[in-house]
Amino acid sequence: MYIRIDSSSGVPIWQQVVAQVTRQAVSGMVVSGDQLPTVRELAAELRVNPNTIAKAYQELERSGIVETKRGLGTFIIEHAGNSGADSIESLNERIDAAVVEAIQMRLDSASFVAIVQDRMTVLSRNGNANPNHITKPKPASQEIKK
Amino acid sequence: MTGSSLQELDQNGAGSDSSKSVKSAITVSGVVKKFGKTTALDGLSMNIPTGSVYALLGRNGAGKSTLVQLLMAMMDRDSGTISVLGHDPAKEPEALKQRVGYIPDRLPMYDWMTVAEVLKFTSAFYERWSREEEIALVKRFGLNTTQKVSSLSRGYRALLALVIAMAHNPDIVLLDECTSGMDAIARREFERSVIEALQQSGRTVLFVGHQIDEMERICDHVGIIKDGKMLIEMPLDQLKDTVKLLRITGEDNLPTNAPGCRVIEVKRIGREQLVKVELSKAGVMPTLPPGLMIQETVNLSLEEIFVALLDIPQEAI
Repeated sequence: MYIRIDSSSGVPIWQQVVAQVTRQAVSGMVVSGDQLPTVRELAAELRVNPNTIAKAYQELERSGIVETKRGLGTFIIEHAGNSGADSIESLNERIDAAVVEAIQMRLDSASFVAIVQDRMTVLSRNGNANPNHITKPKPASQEIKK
Repeated sequence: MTGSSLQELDQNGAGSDSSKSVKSAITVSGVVKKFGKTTALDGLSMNIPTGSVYALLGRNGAGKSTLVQLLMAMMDRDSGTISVLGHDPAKEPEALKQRVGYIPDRLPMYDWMTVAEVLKFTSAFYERWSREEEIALVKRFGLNTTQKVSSLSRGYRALLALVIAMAHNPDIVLLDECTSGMDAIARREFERSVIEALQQSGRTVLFVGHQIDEMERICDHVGIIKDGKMLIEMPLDQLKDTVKLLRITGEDNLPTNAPGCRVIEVKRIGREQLVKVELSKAGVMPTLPPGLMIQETVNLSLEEIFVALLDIPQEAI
């Protein structure tokens, strides 16, 4: 699993880890049963406080991306790809960026939607991500973030 | 004015709430230290929870080095109280030094000795020195024990200092600007070793320095000193939820007295204004007058927060 931290971006490091693992799980770059490095390993690898990694793993567990099996480690869960109000909001931000670019390129909305559909087919074919999960978000725990 | 609002905030913040339940490794209260007419520390207070990795930041001359010297019993304070693991440095310097691993910025070492000789010599001062730990660290860092200290590179000298600081199994590790001047590879190796070292449960680490990027990765608590006083002290996550950049649209500027925040800086770009604020309550947005709307809340890096809090704020236009 490839994770890269940018400490000058301003985004809290645990959130960067959560976002990158989630992205890889949803896009199928990692699949159900794949093991994550241990907190210690990843902390040493990224030269980040172990508590920060532990916090990221807890968050990933709460949002149903990974599960921790006692004594065995942390694993990607089948059908990862959960979404609550928070993730819809962050999704909106990124869609906005793409929409702005599309408008600049003078794409009409039909062509833009076609591209999105195309990308979704490509990405969900790669792994186990089930498009139904993405289009029909389940209400998730919202107390996670302040 | 800046100072008072920050101190109020700190008292209301979760930092002081949690400090009651968590035991402190280091507490400093109202410490004053003067050099002639110069006041280096002006009633400084600090609280480092046990097991935390604490970044002590401040501009040059803010009083960081003076504080470190007081903590390590290298000189005496004029007034105030200091407790390091329950020891007062002024009264029990030896007991304290047994339990603190100190890595200073300049490493005074016996240049004529070999690495092995330095380790043997130093180990005699510490009751808790572990020969196994020493051997393991030397091996991991790739130190050549037959090499003369004088011929070690900057990076290896720091790693040797780290071996000395860790081999006596300290409860607190104090790193004083020790990665300055190291090349990128030496610094990475050093950081990695520090991370591994602090994974031993309950160990407290105090980082003093200017490598803020590096500290943002490693630290979980931050204290910023200004003019010999603690300007702000809180967990890193909370600090990042407190100092924010807001992208606001609307004709009028955000008034400097908007409830719920202190306006640090306003920059206007067309219809938008970029406002750096210090929120009165972490994560709670200020109340805006009608006509103004927050479009986006931007996270700031620790370095940007440091600059925002210590740079003389620009007058709101």
